[in-house]
Amino acid sequence: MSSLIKSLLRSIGVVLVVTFATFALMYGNAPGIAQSVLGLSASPESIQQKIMQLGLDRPLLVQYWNWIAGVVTGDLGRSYYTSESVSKALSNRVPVTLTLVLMTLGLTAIFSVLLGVFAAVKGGWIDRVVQWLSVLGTAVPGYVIAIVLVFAFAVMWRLFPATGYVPPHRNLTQWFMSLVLPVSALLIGAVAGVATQIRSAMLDMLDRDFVRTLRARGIDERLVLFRHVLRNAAAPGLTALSLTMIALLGGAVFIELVFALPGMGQLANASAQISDVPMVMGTVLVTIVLVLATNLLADIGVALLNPKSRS
Amino acid sequence: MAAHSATVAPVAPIRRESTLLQLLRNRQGLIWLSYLVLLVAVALLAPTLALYDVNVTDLAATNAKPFTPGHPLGGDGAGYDIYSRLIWGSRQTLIAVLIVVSVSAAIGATSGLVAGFYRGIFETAASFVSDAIMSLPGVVLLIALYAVTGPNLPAAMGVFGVIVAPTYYRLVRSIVITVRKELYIDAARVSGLSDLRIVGRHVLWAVRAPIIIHSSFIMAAGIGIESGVSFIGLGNPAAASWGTTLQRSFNGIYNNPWGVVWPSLLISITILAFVLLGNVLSDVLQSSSRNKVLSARQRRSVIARSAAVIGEVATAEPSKDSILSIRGLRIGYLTPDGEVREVVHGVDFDLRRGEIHGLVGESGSGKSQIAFATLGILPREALVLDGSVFLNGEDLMADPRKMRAARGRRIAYIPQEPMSNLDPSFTVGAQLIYGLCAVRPMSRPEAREILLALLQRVGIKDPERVMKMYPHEISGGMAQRVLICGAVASEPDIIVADEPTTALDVTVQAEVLDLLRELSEERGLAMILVTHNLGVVADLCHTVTVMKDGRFVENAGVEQIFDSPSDPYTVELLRSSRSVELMEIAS
Amino acid sequence: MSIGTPQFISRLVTTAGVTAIMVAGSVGAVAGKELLTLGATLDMYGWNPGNQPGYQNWAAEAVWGNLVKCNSVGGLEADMAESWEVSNGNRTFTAKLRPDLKFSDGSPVALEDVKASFEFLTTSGRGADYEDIEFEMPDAQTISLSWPEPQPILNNKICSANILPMTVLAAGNWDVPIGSGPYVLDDGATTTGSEYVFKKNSDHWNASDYPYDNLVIKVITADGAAVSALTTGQIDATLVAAGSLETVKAAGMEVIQFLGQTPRLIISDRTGAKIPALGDVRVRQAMNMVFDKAAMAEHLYLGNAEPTAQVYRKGTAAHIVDLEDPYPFDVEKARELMAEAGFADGFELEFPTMTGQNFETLLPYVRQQLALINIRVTEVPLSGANAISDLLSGKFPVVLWQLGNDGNSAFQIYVESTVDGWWNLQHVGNEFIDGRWVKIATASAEESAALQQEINRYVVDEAWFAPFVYMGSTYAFNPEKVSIPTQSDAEALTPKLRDFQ
Repeated sequence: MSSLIKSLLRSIGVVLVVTFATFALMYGNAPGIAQSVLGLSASPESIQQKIMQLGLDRPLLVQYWNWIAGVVTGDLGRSYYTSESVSKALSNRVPVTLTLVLMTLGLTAIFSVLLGVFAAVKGGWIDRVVQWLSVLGTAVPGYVIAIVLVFAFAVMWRLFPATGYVPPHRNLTQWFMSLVLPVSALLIGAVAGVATQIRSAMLDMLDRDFVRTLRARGIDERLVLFRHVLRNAAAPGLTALSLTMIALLGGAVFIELVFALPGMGQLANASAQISDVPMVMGTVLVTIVLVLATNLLADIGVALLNPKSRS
Repeated sequence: MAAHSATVAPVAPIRRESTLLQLLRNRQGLIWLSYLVLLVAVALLAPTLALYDVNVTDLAATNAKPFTPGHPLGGDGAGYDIYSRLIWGSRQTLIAVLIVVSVSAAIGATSGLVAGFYRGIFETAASFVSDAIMSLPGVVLLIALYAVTGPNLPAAMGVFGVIVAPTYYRLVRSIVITVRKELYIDAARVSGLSDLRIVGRHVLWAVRAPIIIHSSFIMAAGIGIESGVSFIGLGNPAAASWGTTLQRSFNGIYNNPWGVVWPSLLISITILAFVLLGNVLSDVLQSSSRNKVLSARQRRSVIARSAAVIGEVATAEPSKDSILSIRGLRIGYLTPDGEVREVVHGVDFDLRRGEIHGLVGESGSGKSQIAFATLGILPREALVLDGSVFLNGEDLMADPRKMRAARGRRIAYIPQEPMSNLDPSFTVGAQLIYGLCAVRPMSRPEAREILLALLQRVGIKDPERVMKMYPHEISGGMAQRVLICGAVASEPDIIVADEPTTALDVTVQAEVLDLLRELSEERGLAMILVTHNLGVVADLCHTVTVMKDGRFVENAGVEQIFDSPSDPYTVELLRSSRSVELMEIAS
Repeated sequence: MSIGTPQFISRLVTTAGVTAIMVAGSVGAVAGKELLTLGATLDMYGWNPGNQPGYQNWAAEAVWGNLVKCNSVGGLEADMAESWEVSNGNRTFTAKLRPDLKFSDGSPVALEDVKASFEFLTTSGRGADYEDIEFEMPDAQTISLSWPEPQPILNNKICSANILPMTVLAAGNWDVPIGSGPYVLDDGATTTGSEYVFKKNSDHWNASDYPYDNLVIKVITADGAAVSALTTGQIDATLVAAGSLETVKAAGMEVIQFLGQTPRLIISDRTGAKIPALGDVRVRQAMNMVFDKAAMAEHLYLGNAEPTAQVYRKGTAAHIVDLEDPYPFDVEKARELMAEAGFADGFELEFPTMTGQNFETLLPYVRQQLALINIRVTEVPLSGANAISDLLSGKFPVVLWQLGNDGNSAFQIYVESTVDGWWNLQHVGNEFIDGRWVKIATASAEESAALQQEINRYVVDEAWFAPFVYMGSTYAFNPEKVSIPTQSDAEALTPKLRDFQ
C-alpha cells in the first residue's frame, strides 16, 4: 500500500515537473499571441486589451499557479483562440484517441501472444515471419503504412472510409468501419514490437529449469506451455504492452493526421502550431496522466502476477 | 548446459582489430554496412551525384512521372527533381541523425557513467529525470515544444536527442554498476590509479560495445522521427531532407502518386539498415544468447546430413535383464555456422532394476545430456543424431508417444537446482497436486492425501503449511525434498537424478542422499545418479560409469572403480576429486 | 488568403476531423431538400461572434443573422433589416428591422441587441473599425449608426457584425451559439472539430431561400479524404485541390473555379528604407519581369489560373479591363533595368513563410527567378505565437504571399495600399493614394470606380507589387444533390450558405 502511495506521489511529481517545463518553455510572446488571436487587422490598443483579458501580462509563476489551481478544481481554462473550454475540447478528443489506442492495444495483445508463442514454440517459418515482421514493423514508419492502407483499401477498393470517425453511439457499424484502417496502421508496428518481446520472454521461460522439470514429470506439453510458461511470461508481456501503450499514444498523432481523426494528437499539433497554450497544456496533461495511469496499472498487474511481490 | 538466458547479455571479450572484420565476414553485416557507407558517400558527393542544384526547379517537370528524361524519379509539384532532392536530402537527414545520436549519447552515456560509477544523490536525481522523460511519448513532447523551437530541424532533433538520452543512461548505468563491482576495478583502485584512469581503461572499454549497438538503433529511430516530424509539418520547409521530400510528395499525392514511393522506400530501407546492422553488431560484439530454434523439417535434414557423414550404424539390441538400455546414443548441437558439433559420441548403457548407477565426469563431459535424453527433455536446440533408449525392451527414442507415456510415470527426474526447478507462480501444493493428477488418474483430494503423506515421508514437518507456500518462501533443502516427493509420487521404476545434492549445503546433502537410498530400497527404484562428486558415488551407488568428452571411459562396480581403476582418466579424476574435497573442507 | 479577417491564422492550423456519418434516418435518402452535407477543409473557429473568418464559415452563416449581408461585389442584400439607407456623406447607416424577429433561445430581437452586437466588436481584432459609433433609435424598429468620419468601407463594417442577444454578449459564454440565423445548432449531435449538425430554423424570415431541413458540416482537412468523401457520397460539396480536379470530374461532380486570389510579391519597402535598391522603381519593375506567368499558371497551378498584371479582381471597380502587362517576361530586360539602376549585383532578401500558404509550390520558382537578377532569397519560416506579428512587423521589405482579391476593391485598396492598411507593411504614406482614398469615402459609385482605377494604374506603374496570376479555390459539388446557381462571396473563395439550392 505504501508503495502505491509512493508511486502516486512520484507520479504527481512527474506531472508537476513536465507541465511546468512545458509551460515555462511556452511562456512569453504575449503580444504575439494576442496578435495571432485577434488577426491581421488588430490595433495596438486591442492587442493590449487582449493581453490583459487573457492574463498574459502576469509573471510566469503566477500564470502557472493559476493554471495548476484551475486543474485541481477541474478547470483547464479556455482556448485563447476559440474561447472553447479546454475540458470540453478534450472530452471530444480524448475518447477518439483512446478508442484508437485501446482497440489497437487489445488486438496487439491477442496477435502478439499468438505470434510470439507460436514463434517461440514452433520455430521454423513462423519464427522467421515474426522476426521479419518485427524488423519491418520497426523500419517502416506507421504513417507510411497508413498511406499505403488508405490507397489500397479506401481509394482503390473502397472497402473502408478513407477518413473520419463515427462515435459508436451514433452508428456502431460505421464506427467500426472508420477504425479498421487507422487501427491496422498502428497495429503492424505494435504487434511487431510486442510479439518479439513475447517471443523472447517465452524462449526465456522455455529455457528455465522448472519447465524442464515439469516436462520430466510427464505433464502434457500443451499444459506446460499454457499453464506454466505463458503464466510466467505474462509479466514481461504486460510490461511490453504498457510500453506499447505509451508508444501508441505518440504514434496516434501521425495516424490521426493521415486519417483525419479528431483526436488528441491533432488537437495538440494544431494548438502547438498557433501557441494556443491552454490547449497544449491540456493535451500534455492528459497525455501524462494517461501514461502514468498506464504505468501504475502495469505495475499493479505485474505485482499481482508475481507472488513474490504479493506476499 | 541449460543456461538461463541472462537478462543483460554478457559482454564478450572484444578484440579491437577483429570487430570490423567479423562484421564484414557476416553476410548481413557486409550488406548493411556497405549500404550505409554508400549513403555517407552519396551525401558527401551530392554535388556530383545530383543532376540539379538543390534549389533548381523546372516548371516543365512539375509532377513529372518517374523515368521522364532528365528526371529519373520524376518531379514534384514545384518542379523539383525528386532524385536530386533525395540526394541532397541525404545530407540533411544524416546530419539530423548525427545530432540525435550525439546529443543523446553525450547526455545519456555521460550521466549514466557518472551515476553508475559514483552512485549517490546524482544517480537518484538522474534516474528520476530519466524515468520521467522515458514515461512520456516523445512525439507529444516534440509537438508541445514546437512552439519554442519553431520549424527548426536541428533544434527538433536536439530535443529528440534529449528525449531518447535516458535509453543510453539506463544502458550505461547498469553496465558500469556491474563492472564497478568486478574485481579488476578494485585491483585497479588498489594499485593507485585515478578515477579517470579507471574509467578510461576499464569502464569505457566495457560500455563501448553496448553503446555502439544501441547507437545503431537510435540512428534508426532518428531517421524515423526526422521524416515523421517533417511529415506532420514541424520540420524546416526550407531544407531538402527525405522527410520534407516525402511531405511535398504527399501533398501532391493525387498529381504524382509515385512521388511518395521513393522517399518512403529510402526512409524504410535506411532504417532497416540501421536496425539490422544493430542486430549483426550485437551478434558480433556480444555473446548473444539468442537461440536458434529449428523446425521439425530442418531438424530432420540436419540429422540426415550428419548421418550421411557418419555412415550407417548397426542398431544394437537392448540387454535382456536391464530395465533401461541405451544404445549408440549420439547427441549434437548446431553451431552458428551450420555445422553439427557432437557432444555425446554413441554410448551404450544398461540399468538393472533396483540398481543405483553413478554417471560421473567433469562438467561438459555429456553426462547431463544422457540423463536428459533418457527422459526426452533435451534442450530444444539439441539434436539426437542417432541411438535408442529402451525401457523394458521398447525403444522410446523411436516413438515420441511411448517417450511421453514413460516420462514422469515410469521414469522420473530430480533436478540439480531445487529453487529454479519449481514454478515461481504456483504454490508448492498446487504444482504437486496438479503434476500428480496429470500422470495418474485420480481426484485432487486423493492426490492431496498421497502427497501429504509423501511430503511427511521425505522429511517435511508441516506438509499442510508447506503446500500453501510459494517456492520463494521455502529453503533449498525443503525445495529439493518437494521435488523428490514430486518425482516419487507417480511411483516410477527409474529415477534420473541430475546432481541432486550439489546446490545444497553439506548437512542437507547427507540427509537427501539418505532419503534417496531409503526410497530406492523401499520401492525397488532404479536410479541414474549424475554427479561430478565421487564422494556421493561412493556413498550411494552400486555401479559407476566414468565419462570424458562424450564417451564412456570405464564402467564397473563402485568398489572396483575406487579400488582398482583401470582407465588413466579415472585415476586422474579420483586424484583431483580428493584434492577438491580437501579444499572444500578447508574452506 | 483573405485580406480582411484573421482566417488565415486558422489556415496554419491543420485541425481536422471527419466523420463518415449520415444523420440518422437519412441513410440512402435522396430527397434533395432534406439534408445538405458540406465538407470543410478547416475547422471552424469556435463560437465567439467577434472572431469569425469568412472562409468556409457556413456554420457562422447558419446560426447568426446580420443587419444586411454583403454580396460578391461589395453591395448589400437584405437580412435582418428589411430596408436601409446610407446618408450623411457615408457616415451614417440607418436600418429598419423586420418585425417579430426572434433569437434561437426564443427571445425577441431588440434594437438594444443590435447596438450591443456592434459595441461588442470594439473588443475584437477589428476593434478600431467600430470605435466612436453613435447609435440612435428613433423608433422601435429603426436604428442608425453614425461614424464621425466618412466610411469608405461602410458596407463591409455593417455586414461583418453578427447579431446576438445582449445578455449573451455580456455573459461572454461561447459554448453554444445563439442567433437569428436560418439554422440552429444541434449541440447534442455535434462533435466539435469534426462534425457540426444544424436543424432548420423554420421561423427564419427567409426560410424559403435555405431549402434544406438539415445541415451538416464535416471537417475534412486532407484533400484526398475530402475527394473520397465527395465521390463516395459522404458529403455533397467541398473545396478540393486543383490536382484533384480530374478525379472529381470523372466521378460526375461539377466544379466551380474561383479566382479569388492574386499571389504576388508585396514590395512594400518602396522608399528603400531597408533595402535602398527597392526605392528605385526600375528595380521593382525588374522584379516584375523575371516571372513567366503563363508557365506558372500552367505548371504550378495546373492550368487553373490566369496570368495578370494587376492585383484587383475582374469585375471589381478597380479592375482595368484593357490593361496590357507593362512587364512581360524578359530576363534580359530585367537585368538591364537592374544595371541602369546601379544594382546589377543585386541584394539579399528574406522571405517569411508559413505553413498552409502554398509556399512549397510557389517559393522554389520565385527564388530561382529572382536569382537571375542577383536577388538572393532566403526562406525564413515563421511559426508559433509571433508568426503574425513578425509577418506584419515591417521587418520584411518584400513578402511573397498568396493574397486575396476582394470583391469590394475599395476594401482591398484600404488594406493593401493606404497608410493604415496592414498589408502596407512599413505603413509608409503616399500622397497619391491617401489623397484619393479620402475622396473615395464620399464619392459616388462612378467617381469611386474612377478613383480606384487611378490607384490601380499607379501601383502597377510604380510596381508596388509583382502579381503573378489570378487563381483560387476549386469548389466541387455533387449535381445530383445540390445546385449552386449564385455566387455571393465577396472574397470569392467558396459559395456562401445561401448559394446552395
